[in-house]
Amino acid sequence: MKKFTYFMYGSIFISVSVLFLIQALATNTYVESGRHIDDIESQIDAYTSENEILHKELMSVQSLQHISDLARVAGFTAPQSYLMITQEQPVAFSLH
Amino acid sequence: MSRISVLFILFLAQLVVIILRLFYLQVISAESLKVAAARQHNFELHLSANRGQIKTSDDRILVMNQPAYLVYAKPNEISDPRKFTESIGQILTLNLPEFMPHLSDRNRYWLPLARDVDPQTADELIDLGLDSIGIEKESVRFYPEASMAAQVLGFVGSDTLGNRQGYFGLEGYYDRELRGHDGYLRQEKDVHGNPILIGGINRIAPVDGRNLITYLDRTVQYIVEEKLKDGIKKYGAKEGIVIVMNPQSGGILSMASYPSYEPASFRNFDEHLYKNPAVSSFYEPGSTFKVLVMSAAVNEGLVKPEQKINESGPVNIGPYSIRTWDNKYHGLISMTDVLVHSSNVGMVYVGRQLGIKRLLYYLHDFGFGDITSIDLQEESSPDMRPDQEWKEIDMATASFGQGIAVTPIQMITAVSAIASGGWLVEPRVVKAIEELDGTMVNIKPERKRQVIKPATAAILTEMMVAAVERGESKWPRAKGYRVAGKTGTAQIPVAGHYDATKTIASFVGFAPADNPRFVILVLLREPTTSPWGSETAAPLFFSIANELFTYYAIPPD
Repeated sequence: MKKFTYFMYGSIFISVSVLFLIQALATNTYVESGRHIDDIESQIDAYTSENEILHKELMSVQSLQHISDLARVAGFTAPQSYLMITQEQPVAFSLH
Repeated sequence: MSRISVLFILFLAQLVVIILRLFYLQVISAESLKVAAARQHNFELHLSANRGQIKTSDDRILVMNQPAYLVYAKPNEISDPRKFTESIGQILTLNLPEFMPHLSDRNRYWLPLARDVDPQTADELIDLGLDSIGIEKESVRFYPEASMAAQVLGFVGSDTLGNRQGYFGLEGYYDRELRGHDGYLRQEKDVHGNPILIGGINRIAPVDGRNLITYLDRTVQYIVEEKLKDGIKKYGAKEGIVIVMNPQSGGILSMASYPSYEPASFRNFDEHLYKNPAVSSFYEPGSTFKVLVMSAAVNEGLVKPEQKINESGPVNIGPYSIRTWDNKYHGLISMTDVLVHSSNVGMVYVGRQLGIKRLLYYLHDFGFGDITSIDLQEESSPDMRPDQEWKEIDMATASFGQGIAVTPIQMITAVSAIASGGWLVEPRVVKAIEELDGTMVNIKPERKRQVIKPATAAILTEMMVAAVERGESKWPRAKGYRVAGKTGTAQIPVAGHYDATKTIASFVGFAPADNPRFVILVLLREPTTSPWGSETAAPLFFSIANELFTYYAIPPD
């Protein structure tokens, strides 16, 4: 019984020591990573902004006003009259 | 006094000083020091939600966001305010007399200098390398189609606390759906200002606003706006409004008014342009109103299209004499001819057949005197005279559209009831709301009530087709299409009388008459080339309708 108690105390002590060591190692390893995280977040922000700007430019060149201006420069004009192409009636309908 | 006593008193005094100092630090200054300490080892960031986009029915973007920056100064870190303003003054235009006292205030931590700054300018400011200046990313509205549908869209400004807020039109009406919820980030930082990965972090993610999908069709809107601008120029009108509506769903396919403004730079325009006149301006509808009064009488079985009356001269009601618009009288004319010739005398007969009570019943049923509930923030409705105050002369003038005020959206909604088999539908601009995950929440079209019977609607359609085909003027109609419509010319009431020189010319109609795809209302205020709707609003109506036949690929009848 006494042996088991010593074993338990020993195990707890070793576990605590190992965890403490891991925490110390992890802290020392990752404490400097904030800079990298900051860099990555800055890059994400920059790319997001760039995407937004490109999307905006894309939408601008797709606007009807822009297309209409380009068409005008290229010499296109609005049709003055329309020609409606209709299908002729089947022969069986021509009764006269 | 012994030396030990003096020493004791000295120690006691020091102890009292220490206690007082501790009391000052831990009790009196506790909160401010706590904040200062938190500021040293935490950074806080406001995470702005992106405002939702507004799209057309053909999935084109009318309103989106573009990156912009809020530039602020930290006056407590500015050693030389004059030098500071000289540095940033080369990039930003600042009102120095306004900013100088605040920049010199060393107790101030944050002072906004400029909003909506573009990315290039923000980069130039960063390149200055000033610690006492900061930028915060936010977004600002961008309109790919510039001023298209400006008065339908509204704009985004700031509320009294400086927060983004939508005003007018869709931005105002759907502000809660569009704005989303801002987020917040609080994280521990190291001595260099970098986040500590294993430190405390408190993050509430922002939730972006939802997108609005409208019934507006980009091409139809473009056609209508171009035609309206040309029409206003051609007819020398002061203002103009055109609404195109789907009579079955109540969806607004296009809504344009001129003059208008650019929502991206709304501050540079007169405030009276912010309100959409299509839903907030009042006018007397004139002869376009005749189709509604006629439909009420036909629906009640009081008149029939072929029924004849004798239009022999002016009709007298008390001291008033009511004449036809051209003071010409046609003798025996049918009810259809009453609309074809736009006879005021004939309409007084129809109004008398209806009587005040039934006329008012139908006016209310067609939605007059109440807002249509269109989803635009600034909609308003003129009050109708209380029912008990109506006299015979009021009923007589109302029968041909004078002495009663309506809004353009009320008028087109009422006429839509004739085009949709008698059903009054609720006009709507937004047909669906797009959630963040892409799912669509459709807003079902709402049929309010059946105002007239389908048979009555069919009869009125034929009468309106006759009004177009046999009317006083000939218009450039596309060959082979049956269009139902009615012109209107109303004088403008000024200080208790009608101004004989100023009119509101209008035309309302729908096509194809047998299976209406669209209803159009054209309204021109004070045209100068001709005061008549038949010579101004009607040709504009047909030039728009002809384009729509082609765009929707509607074959001739």
